[in-house]
Amino acid sequence: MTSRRGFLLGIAAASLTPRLTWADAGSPAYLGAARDQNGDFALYGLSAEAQIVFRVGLPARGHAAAAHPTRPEAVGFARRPGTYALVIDCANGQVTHKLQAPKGRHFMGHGVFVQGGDILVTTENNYAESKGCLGLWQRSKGYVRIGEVDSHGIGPHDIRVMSDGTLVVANGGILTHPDHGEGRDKLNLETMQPSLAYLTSEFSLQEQHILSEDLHHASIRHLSVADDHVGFAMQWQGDPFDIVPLLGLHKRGADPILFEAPLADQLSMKAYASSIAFNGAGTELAITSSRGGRIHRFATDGQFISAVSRTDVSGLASKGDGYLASDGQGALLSIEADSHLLNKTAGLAWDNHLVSLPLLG
Amino acid sequence: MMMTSFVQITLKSLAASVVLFTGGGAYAGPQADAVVRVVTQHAVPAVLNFSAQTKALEVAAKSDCTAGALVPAYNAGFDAWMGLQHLNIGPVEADARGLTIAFWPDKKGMIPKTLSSLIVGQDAAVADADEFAHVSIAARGLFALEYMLFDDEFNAYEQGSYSCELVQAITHDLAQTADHIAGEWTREDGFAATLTTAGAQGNQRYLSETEAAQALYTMLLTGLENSAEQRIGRPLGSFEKPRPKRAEAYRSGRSARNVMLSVQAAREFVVAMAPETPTHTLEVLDDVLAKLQDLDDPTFASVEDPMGRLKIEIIAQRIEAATDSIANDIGVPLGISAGFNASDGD
Repeated sequence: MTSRRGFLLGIAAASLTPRLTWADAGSPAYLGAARDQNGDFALYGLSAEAQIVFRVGLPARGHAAAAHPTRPEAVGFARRPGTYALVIDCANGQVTHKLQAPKGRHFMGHGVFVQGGDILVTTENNYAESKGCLGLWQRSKGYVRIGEVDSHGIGPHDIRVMSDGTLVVANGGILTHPDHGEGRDKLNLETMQPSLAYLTSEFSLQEQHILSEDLHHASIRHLSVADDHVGFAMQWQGDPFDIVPLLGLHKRGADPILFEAPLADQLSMKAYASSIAFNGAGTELAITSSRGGRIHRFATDGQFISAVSRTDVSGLASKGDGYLASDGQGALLSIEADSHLLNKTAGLAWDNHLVSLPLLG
Repeated sequence: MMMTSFVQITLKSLAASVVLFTGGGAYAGPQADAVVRVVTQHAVPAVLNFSAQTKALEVAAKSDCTAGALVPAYNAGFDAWMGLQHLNIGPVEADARGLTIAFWPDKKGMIPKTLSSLIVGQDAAVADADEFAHVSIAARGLFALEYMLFDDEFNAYEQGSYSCELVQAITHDLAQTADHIAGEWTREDGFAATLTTAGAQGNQRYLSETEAAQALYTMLLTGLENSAEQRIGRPLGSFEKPRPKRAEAYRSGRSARNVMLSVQAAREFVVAMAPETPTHTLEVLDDVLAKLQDLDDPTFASVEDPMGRLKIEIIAQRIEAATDSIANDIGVPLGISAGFNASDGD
């Protein structure tokens, strides 16, 4: 029954409705969470040169965030075993939605938007059934949960979307339960089986890789994607003095390739990788180790390029031909052939991860 | 000769650092004072001592390389390392020198394998110091030398043999590594200056006094944790399966001595960092030292005996108690704590 006049008015009104973009939040290139000197936690937007462009307070320490591809919206996840996530309007600092994990599940700290930004996919621990799952939330319906699918492994942690819409999930393999050690006790170290799982855009399993039995303690935790390559970073659950790979590179249809630095450098990482990123050109990739206070750079053919020492370094994202790294002492560093300081905010402790935003002009 | 020149360099460069430090016009607060004290009273003397002792070991090996003759100089060198090994950032970390000096634990048995292959192949690297500096870290440093001097499969060599040359090459390489560490700590723009000019313009490594104090503090705690978790924890294994052969330096009978020296170094560190330290921390550390003395078990072999095991476990617990005490006595008053991400990643 819509009249032609009413219809045209509607279009006019729609075109007048402000459609906020990341430019309205100061055009950040990165998101990072930090604790400040008062002990408060906040989400920060950072420019391409690592200057703070916005700050939004958080109720507690977070882990990572999922950034909407176009709208200035970020979803901040509580740390494991948190059961809530907050949708934050980064243009005005308001919390617009609070996501509550269903009964028997908690968030794992990572998530990603798919389908043009309408569906948020969250990694979750279905501890009621001792398996991993992915929660699906629809933004256009007010972030209502519309379902969940199997992650095809225990302990899904990071999740990324590839350019063709395929999802890749790091199933860390470690079983936890909120009733045991505040959800951080590891209940299945003897039998853990981490995997890299690819799901189609319809969420059905497309391909899955499990590392060899001698590496079953290598918990695949964090991911970075460049074209059709997936880099994955691992955290060893055996002896920290074991000499084991912490970085892998995978292309669908092939076997994963594992990278190791020379013996002494590899040992200096303390068998732990915190974050991973490709450089902007996709020609190399790097991992950080907060425990080793190190950044290791590798060419995509596995050649070790260099190590950079930085106490408590953890967050890592691509920046030009190199990387942006963050540490627990408020520093944001540019890492290339040389590393140098871009920003240092006294009293800030940057948390585990940095999240890259697509630069959309 | 070497020693003298280093002392001169040190005094000169430290004077330069202190001038830089106070000349910047900034108020030198308690954190900065603590850093200067740890550097001048604890770190630099340890670095110089290690350099001197490894030089003496090299000289001793040149005159008589045989295992029996070299043990006293070896022990003096290892003792000196224990005064320094916890200071594992900066020059000790660079070029993986810490791991080159002390490759432990050797979980895959790489040391005897690498030494055997050098000896069997009569590898010419022993004749060229530059070439030897590129040999696997498993065949260099104190633990490779321990095999050569204390393990029956390696230590029966004579003067003039290939193994003798290998021992001389290892001691020369070790002294060189120590010399590099000492040089990089004490030269005018060296690591001592880097720490004591934290927060000054142009100091890219330590962007504030807090960072330098925190870096030192973290090493103090990590050093003690390593003694509890690794030096004692490894041989302890589990009650069902004790692992005495996993004790550090058991071949040379130094396992308990190394824990004792690391705790003594921590005590010296504490006193330098906080001369007004409440007595609790020092009491706990002294208690650990007394208990190690009473244990009278150089290699922690008694982990296999329930009573001995209990005593060793208590020593580890007391070392962990010392770290808690240090957090209260030093960390809180100075406003510093261990790493944010390092202690709590995901």
